[in-house]
Amino acid sequence: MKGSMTGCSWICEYSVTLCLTSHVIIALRILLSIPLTFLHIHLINSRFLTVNISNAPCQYFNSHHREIVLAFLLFAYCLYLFALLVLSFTRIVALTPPFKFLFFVTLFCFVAVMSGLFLGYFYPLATSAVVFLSFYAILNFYVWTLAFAYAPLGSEDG
Amino acid sequence: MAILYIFFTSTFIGTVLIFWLCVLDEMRSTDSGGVGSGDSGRRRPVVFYTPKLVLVSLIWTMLMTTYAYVRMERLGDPTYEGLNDWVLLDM
Repeated sequence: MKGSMTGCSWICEYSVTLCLTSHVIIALRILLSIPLTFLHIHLINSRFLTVNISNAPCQYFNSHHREIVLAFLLFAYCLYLFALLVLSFTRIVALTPPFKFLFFVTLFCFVAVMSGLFLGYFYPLATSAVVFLSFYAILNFYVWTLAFAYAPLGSEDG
Repeated sequence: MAILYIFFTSTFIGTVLIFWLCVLDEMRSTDSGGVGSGDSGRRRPVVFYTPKLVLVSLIWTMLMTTYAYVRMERLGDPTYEGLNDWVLLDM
């Protein structure tokens, strides 16, 4: 009986490890595809666009180069955050339901902020009203959720 | 006003990014797994905060310079559209 239980727990542990490993590999592939796609598109564009670099001295490090450096920095940030997510996975599973809700709200905001940064929706230019309202509504919702979640409890006798 | 928008947007995004890293790293490194749980005194603040601050400072600097560059381009050329010239959207 004990041996069968040990075998079952080994199988469960093995399947959890296998599942976690496959999820890690899939997530890494998705994360890797972001800067590689970014670089690929930039290289294709650089063949067809005629950029006159003699007009301004700062054109040697122009907007596209900055965007590529920014994309790689954001990719490094995503990798760092993903590694921390994997390492603290057992603690996230053990969270109480309200903090699990907060965690999923945080994940949703993370995806929104990253997509906004990668797609340039935070540019200091006029965008559509829907985009502006969506991003600022999400960020305001997140800030107020955090403020509500971490608000100090009132004293019971007061 | 545009420079204020750029500064505050970049600072807010940088603050949120460093907050997420700190929360997850503290959750990983403490025994009880909670923020402000009393275990945070065991880790060294320099080791804990320096890599996060370096990475987020770089992102903040690149955000500031990119957005300022786009804004300056727009001032010199009113037809310049940062969103349409963004390399990912040129497909």
